[in-house]
Amino acid sequence: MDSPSLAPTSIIQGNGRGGPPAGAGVLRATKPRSFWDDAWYRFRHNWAGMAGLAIFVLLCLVAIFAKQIAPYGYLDQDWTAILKPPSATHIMGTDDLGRDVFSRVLMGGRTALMVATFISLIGAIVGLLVGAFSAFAGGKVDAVVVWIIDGLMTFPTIWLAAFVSVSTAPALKNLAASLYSVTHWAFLKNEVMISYAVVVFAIGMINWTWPARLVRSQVLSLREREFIEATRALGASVRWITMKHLVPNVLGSMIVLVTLSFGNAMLFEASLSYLGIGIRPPGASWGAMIFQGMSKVRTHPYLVLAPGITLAVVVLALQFMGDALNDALNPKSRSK
Amino acid sequence: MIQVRDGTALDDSLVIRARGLKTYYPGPHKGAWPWSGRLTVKAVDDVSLDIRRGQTLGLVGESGCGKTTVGRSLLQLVRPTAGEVFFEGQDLCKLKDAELHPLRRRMQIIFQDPYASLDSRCTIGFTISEGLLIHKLVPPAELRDRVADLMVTVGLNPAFENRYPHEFSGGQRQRVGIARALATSPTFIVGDEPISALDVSIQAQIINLLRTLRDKLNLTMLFISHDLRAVRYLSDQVAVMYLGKVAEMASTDELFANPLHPYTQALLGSVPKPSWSGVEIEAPALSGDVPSPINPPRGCYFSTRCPRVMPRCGEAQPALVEASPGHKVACFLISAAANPV
Repeated sequence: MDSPSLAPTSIIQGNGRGGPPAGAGVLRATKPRSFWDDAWYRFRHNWAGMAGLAIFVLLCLVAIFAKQIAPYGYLDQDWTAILKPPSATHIMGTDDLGRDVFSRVLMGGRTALMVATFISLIGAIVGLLVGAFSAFAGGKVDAVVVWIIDGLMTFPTIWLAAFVSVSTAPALKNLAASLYSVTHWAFLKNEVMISYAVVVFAIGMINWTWPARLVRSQVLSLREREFIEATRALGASVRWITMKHLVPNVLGSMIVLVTLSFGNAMLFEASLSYLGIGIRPPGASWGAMIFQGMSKVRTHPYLVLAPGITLAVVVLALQFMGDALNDALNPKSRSK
Repeated sequence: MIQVRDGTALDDSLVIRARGLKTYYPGPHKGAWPWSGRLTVKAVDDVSLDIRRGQTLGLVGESGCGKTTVGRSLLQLVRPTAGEVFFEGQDLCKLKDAELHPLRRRMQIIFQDPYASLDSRCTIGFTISEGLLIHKLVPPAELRDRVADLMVTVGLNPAFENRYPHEFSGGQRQRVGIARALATSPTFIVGDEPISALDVSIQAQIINLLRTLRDKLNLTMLFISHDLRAVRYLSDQVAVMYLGKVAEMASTDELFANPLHPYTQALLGSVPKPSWSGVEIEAPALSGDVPSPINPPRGCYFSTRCPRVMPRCGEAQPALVEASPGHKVACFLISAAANPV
């Protein structure tokens, strides 16, 4: 029972050891700053991160409005302008089928962005679920999940992605065909669309291991930390602890990891397409464009350079952005 | 008076009353395989203690003797394996988590490590107000004033409420931890070695702060420490633990003036005292380590290191009996009459 001397207001009288008296005016001068306000402040002051963000935003805009920006259709063939070097009419030249390289690079950006978004989303969601489940389940379940993750991680990612891509492509095609016979949706017959799905599936199958490992280890170590115990001692529910402490502590590293893996996913898509097991030929992919240009790289280097440099710049921008986010979301690195 | 299940009347002035408290952890596997059975670590083995309103019980002992687990078990942060803990007339061990929730605000804990016990993602203002938010004790409009009051109470500048823990020193962080524990106006506070991670000069400040707050707010405390001087300064009663059991328990003055258990004598003798000829240590330091609680020695747990061990010490366990009024000891030397062969 509450004894009167212990009512919530009883502490107010104390002016323990120094410090201004209670309710000093200085208090109201500062607005409460959330962790995210603070992180944004730190991110804003990182020029490399901001440059990366600018390039990434530009890529998103270009990908969304590719068809409006592109001067030519990305599949349009101009038989009068085959293998033309960059000029005023074709700023990145044309390829051996007379297609405008600039327009194809724009559409390649759309492909890369779309594929990387899906891969990262799948990775983040599956990774979060598997990692959190594994950490909370513990014991043998946890051990088995860790074996699977470690097992998958021992293979070179590109090798595994190629393997999954090649071995699941026919199955996915059959699935799409049987779905088409029921629904008659046109995109299920689109070869390019199916190749998108195959790439997303292949890389997504492998890419979830990183976020899963991260989330698992973070939840495991956070659960044992004293500040979680302190919150439990205050009477917090599992929901409160999860929302106020676990998620904010895991989210920062998740965002960083997803940003960094976003660039990786683009590279994987390009690699698979370069190897001819990614996006199917009529579809525009930077990797496929580089492959097609390689045979003429001595005479027409722009065919390789245009998609190659674009890919490098975008991946680098994402890397910068990821590093800046890492600094911003980790208050311990806050400048002294 | 509150009537307790076993028929004995529970004194109103008793804030905490623990009986036969046992907390066992699963230990390492017996065999080499993940599925082979596990040994038991008896972190706390049959501990009984009472703390009266406004009093402080000091709990001392070597590292790994179960002091911390006693504190955690009293607060039900670790659910005890067996035993009873009465707090405000209710046996906490029998309550479900949901039933425990309203009581949580009345009992709090101050942690040892001021770095690990604060969430680096939260401002200290949020950390301090968390208990108030969870229990909805203060209307939102008054929250900031209340946090400011608490910060002043523990000697922090309220203007720092939006700062993060890494911007503070260890002593300041410990003040944040104390403010968090005081926020919900608890009656009972466990201080889990609240000073042992701090610099010596800061230790005195925090000890004084704890003492001032305890007296001002009439707090009941369990003060866990291996620093005997701090325990002596802060406690009314002292319990000495060894390997999960209470070896000796008495009022502070009595225990320090007249230690009866050889382990207590060794502990007291190990405190360096300044003297004319330099620093002196009275008794020879104990040799050897604390035996593992997984496989404690037969008989008296202290028999392997006791300087005055007798044959019967290796055969039976001495019970905790009253040597003089209010002075309990678990040793055959003292309690031969009460511990018949």
